[in-house]
Amino acid sequence: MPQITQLPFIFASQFFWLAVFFGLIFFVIARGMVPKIKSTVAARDEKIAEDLQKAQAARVAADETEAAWRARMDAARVDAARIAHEAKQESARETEARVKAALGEIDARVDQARVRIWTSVQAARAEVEAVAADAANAKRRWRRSLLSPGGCQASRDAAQEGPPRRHRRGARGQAAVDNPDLLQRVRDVGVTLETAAALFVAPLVQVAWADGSVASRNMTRPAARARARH
Amino acid sequence: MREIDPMHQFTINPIAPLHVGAYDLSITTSTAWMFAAFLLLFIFFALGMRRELVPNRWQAAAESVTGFIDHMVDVNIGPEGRKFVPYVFSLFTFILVSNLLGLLPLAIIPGLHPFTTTSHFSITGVLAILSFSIVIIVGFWRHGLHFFSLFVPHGTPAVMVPLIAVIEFISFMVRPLSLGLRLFVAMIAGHILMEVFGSFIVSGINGGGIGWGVSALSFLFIMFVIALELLMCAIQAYVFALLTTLYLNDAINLH
Repeated sequence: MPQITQLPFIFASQFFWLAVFFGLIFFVIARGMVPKIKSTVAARDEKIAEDLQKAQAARVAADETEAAWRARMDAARVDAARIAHEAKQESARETEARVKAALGEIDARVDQARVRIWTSVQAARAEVEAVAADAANAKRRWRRSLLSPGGCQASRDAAQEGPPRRHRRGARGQAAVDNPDLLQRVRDVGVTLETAAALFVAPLVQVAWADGSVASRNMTRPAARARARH
Repeated sequence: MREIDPMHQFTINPIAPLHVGAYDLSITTSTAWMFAAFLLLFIFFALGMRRELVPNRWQAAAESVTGFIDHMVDVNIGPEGRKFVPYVFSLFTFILVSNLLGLLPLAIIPGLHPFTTTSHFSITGVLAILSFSIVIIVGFWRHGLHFFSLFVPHGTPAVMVPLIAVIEFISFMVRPLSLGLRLFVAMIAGHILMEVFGSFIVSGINGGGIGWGVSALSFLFIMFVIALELLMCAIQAYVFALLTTLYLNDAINLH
């Protein structure tokens, strides 16, 4: 075994050169070069840690920005909702006012129409009364003529007489009423002295229908007026 | 047929005689291989010293070695072990490179033989005594006579103290021996094994017939042995450095 047999001769050399080279490794490499390598590693680790910290800070900042943006967006959304609501209310109010104005106008027109209808009805009523009076006169005369020997002649005379004073005061249409043909036709239809009163209503109904629409109001109101008048 | 001596590979041959006084400090093959180890380490770490923020492969390799030692010392000793990092680093790298150099297949170049400096206990023993001396010096430096409490573990019954102290003392004194011998024996055993099976291959080929079978088997076996030896090179360097840190830990932190 050379390790033992050679030992006395080589030990000094082994020890010396081990000391030299181990010392070189220790002082030159381990104490001279390794610290520089380690400082590089430390610098890198520090840089990485710093970068990570920066990244973390950036993330926090980004989060904050996002939160602020969200808050702004929420505020804007609330604002928008409020403005929309206000606009809706405003427009509703405006519409209401316009509807009200239109309603007022319509009511005014309706009232005017009612006034017109009323005057028409009054005129018509006067006419109908005149017709009824004529009819009554005619009937009386006719009955008298039937009873008198003059017969129909008397009736013809009566017809040729001037109209009664009242009729002369009434509206036009006297000639039509005095017309025996017309009277005859009225009677043929079945109008008697009693039912002739219903003729008062006829113009009312006509006027109501002439407005173009047939609402129940238009039907009932003339009737109610007629009832009220009787 | 020439006789094969598996121990011949451990012979140290003088290269240049050098005498200083009574001492023979001749430059030998062992010296040359120690120098080679130093040179390789120097080149390796010099190339790893580029100090780039983003390391290249070589720099990363050098940094991983220093980081490995740093970690080992930190784990086994703690922050107080920082000042021993250069020593542990020197131990580990020197032993590792010496071990690996001895495995290089340089014998295929005529006249050149690989030589394992760590297969001489004149080297491993000196390193072991160096570690042991540092442990003792640090222990007494830090704790004075209190360092002797190392020999009495906590919780030992009073009756047992003398016996335990003797056992602990022996085990403590055996440390340098086991430290030096372990490395030396591991290296020498592996090399003898490779030498023996290598000679089997050659003898088998010359023998013919059954000999070829023996050669083939030996060849297979030697491949595994070489793989195992490569592993052993790293393990022994690691064990030497690790045990040194553990002993230093004892000296610094006691038990």
